[in-house]
Amino acid sequence: MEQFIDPRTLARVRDLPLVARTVADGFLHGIQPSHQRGMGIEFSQYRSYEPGDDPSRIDWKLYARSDRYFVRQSERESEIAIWFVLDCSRSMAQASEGGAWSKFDYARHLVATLAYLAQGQGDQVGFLSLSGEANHFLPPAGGTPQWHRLLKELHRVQPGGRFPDPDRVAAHMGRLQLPGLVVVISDFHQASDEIFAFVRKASTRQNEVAALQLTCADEIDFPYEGPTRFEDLETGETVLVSAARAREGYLATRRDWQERLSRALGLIDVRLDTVDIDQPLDAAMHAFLERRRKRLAS
Amino acid sequence: MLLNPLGLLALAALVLPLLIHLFSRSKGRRVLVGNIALYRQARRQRVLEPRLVQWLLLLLRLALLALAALLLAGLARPGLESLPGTTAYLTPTWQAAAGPEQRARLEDFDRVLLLAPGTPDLAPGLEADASATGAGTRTGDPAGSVSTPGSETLPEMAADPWAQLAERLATVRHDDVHVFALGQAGEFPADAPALGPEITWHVGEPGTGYTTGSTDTPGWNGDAGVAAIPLSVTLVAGPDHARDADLLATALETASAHRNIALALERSTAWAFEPARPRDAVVWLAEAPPPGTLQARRLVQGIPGDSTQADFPDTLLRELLGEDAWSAGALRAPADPSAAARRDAPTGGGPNRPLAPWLALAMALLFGLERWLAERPSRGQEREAAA
Repeated sequence: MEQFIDPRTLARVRDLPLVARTVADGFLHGIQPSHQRGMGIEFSQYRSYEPGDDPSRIDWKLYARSDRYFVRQSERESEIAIWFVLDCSRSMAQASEGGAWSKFDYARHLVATLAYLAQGQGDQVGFLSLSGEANHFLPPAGGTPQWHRLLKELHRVQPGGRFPDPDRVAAHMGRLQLPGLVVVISDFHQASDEIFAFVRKASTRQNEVAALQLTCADEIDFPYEGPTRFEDLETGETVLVSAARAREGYLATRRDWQERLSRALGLIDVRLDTVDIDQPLDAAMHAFLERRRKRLAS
Repeated sequence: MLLNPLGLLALAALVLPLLIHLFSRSKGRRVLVGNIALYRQARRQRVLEPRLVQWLLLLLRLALLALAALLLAGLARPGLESLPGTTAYLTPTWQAAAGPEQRARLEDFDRVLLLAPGTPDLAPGLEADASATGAGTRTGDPAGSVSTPGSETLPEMAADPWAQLAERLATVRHDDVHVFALGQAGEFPADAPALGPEITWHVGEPGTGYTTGSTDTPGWNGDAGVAAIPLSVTLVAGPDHARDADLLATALETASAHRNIALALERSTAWAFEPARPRDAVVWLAEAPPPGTLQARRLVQGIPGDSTQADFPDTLLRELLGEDAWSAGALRAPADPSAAARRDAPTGGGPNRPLAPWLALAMALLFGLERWLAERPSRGQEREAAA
């Protein structure tokens, strides 16, 4: 299960001051550290025991010294839940020729890494995978066991079918709309506008939706030569083109498509972050977190 | 014209490139993408070029295979030159021996050609005069100093009239061919080249009247005006020498056919051999010694001479006929050229010019074109290389 965590990735990301500021304070959402006292990891202060307090929270060493009951108080755990919504449609199986990971593989590693950081900060982590075949739903919870459950889910999911219509995920929508952060990881290749519709529905005033778009080098550079037959992963439709000549047209079309995508997401106040899966995971994460930090700081 | 029509079966191979073309329509690298719509848009800029090149390549490959099939089928075209009407060929010996009566016959022919180097054309009218001095050679070929009929030099000149005839028949299309020959063995050597069957033969000595016949007429040999030399031979061989016996029989049949020897060949074994029956010659190949009561003019034990030598048939005939009969006339005995012609003529017949070299050249050109087209770098690559 640990395979999803690239130790080098974590090591590098953790060394960064960015993590100290952004990640430590509730990871992605916690730019405003909570000053409410309560149960948590970081010790804050002692207070006298009052009836109703959990006896397990009594500090017995202090009791031995002072003969009075004190309970430990720490900074309250962040209440926000971070949802990772993973697009498991068949198109996520796309990879660059000679690339190490498909978009889906990359997404799994990304989710595992981000979730690890999040649970380390005491955030609750939830997971929703959406594909045409089966949707996996993991309600938010905190702690390492939750992270392990998440890894188990990540193991189970496979890309297949199309992104489901929003109606089909209506049951989970209510949970997503609660305060928190929803990270939608997808390639944003959709048959009509089902992913838009999902993002639009999931985005409310209470929560924040971050869109992480995965692209690959081949998609960006169109490095093909000669007659090339492109086959759609989801529909199986093929298009034969003379690659060298189609390049300009493709790049223009894609640029246009990308602009329309960011504009459409911007209209519903969802910021689009693009990650190239052929770049190292930690570098991409670093860039992603850095962008978020700047955005939240501004 | 096809010399070997069975070779056309190779045309079936044309199916292969067709099938490959149809089944490899997915030509082009297969790339799995997430959103085909982006590429569908790009298709507007797509060009017909890849497909056009594929079709062109298919056509080239089909043409290549078709040419190969034609090559196998022995595509040939009729000889360039065409001789309409009747054509008479004379051997120099015949011309030398012919009297005015025979020469008069030549007037019926559209042209009369001498089978000598250069194949001089003899005007029949001029030849009718025995005193003609070669003024009839129209070609002006000095070698055609055919002239003076009856001159002693002519038989020596007629080195190989048969080869000459064969070459003419192979390169010139004739309507009607007549060959006048004395039928002497010297005119038509044993290793006669193959001739087409459409020849009317006039064989015989000018002084003794003509025998004419066509190679299409079976049994003509028997009607020849000059009697064939009879030769009855019994081959005695055990099973161990069956191959030797076959070899000898073939050599005997060929040699006697070329020399108009009426061969009566009999195969026997040592125990079935009837020594008392008279025969001209016995070839004894069996292990057992020949019986003492053997009635034969000649007895040959084993294979005479070296059977790998070209003159083996001559050696064999000489042994079987005896030196006297050989020198007396076997060599000059009237031959039956038609027999040899029938035996050796190719099935296709006719004067044909094989087109194999041209076909091969065309194939090489097409192959070069095909390779160039198939491996031609795309324009995109060129642009990249230039950059």
